[in-house]
Amino acid sequence: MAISVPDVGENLILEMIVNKTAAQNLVLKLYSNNITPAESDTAGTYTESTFTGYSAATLTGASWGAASGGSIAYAQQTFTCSGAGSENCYGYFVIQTTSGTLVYSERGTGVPFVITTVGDNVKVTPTITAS
Amino acid sequence: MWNPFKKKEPEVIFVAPTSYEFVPEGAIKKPKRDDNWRQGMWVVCDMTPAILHKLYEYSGEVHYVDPETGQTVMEKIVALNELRQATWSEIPSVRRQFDREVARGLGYGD
Repeated sequence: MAISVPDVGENLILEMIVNKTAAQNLVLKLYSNNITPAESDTAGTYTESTFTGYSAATLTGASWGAASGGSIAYAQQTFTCSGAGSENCYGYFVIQTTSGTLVYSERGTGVPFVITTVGDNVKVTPTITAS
Repeated sequence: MWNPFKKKEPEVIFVAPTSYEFVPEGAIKKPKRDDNWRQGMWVVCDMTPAILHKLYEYSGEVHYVDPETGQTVMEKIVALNELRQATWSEIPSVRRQFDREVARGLGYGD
């Protein structure tokens, strides 16, 4: 499934291209509410995961690979459960670290993925392709 | 000696950890189409608010949304001619996170 860029994310990207708004590191978060991304979304639409062992991942600007072929990627991020429980994971969303503005999100296929057992994990390889 | 009436030892069930992987296919793109259908668009289908989640040539995967919670309640593939773009007031208020002017610019009329 392709990522979904909401209206606020599109506007932010446009302002960054022309240097009206400075770029910031991005933060990758999983979400636990049953949301299908829509163009009206903001970061507040999504409920961040809270399972034991979870913490959001900061995507540092310098650690992205070089853009190539209209695509840019970051090393795979793994979110691993370290305590038994039960929480649904429906997807992930990416915000700017300081402004908190939603940049994009993605709902998984065949979700929810239920996190119950120590060692359960969710892997995301941040990749953005412009075409 | 084998005793068929001996109580069976309880089985220990080991639940192996499972993993979910988002396969990167991410793209900032809206399908190039002659019409205005786009991923993430609010539509009305069967008189219910829904989000156009995936677009195919003549059909789309819509996710029906609970007007109260804003969460997804059902997924269905429908012909695009069964859809129409939602109006501002038809978008569930809990998911209506842009103002009316912005919405109008995106085609959500009154």
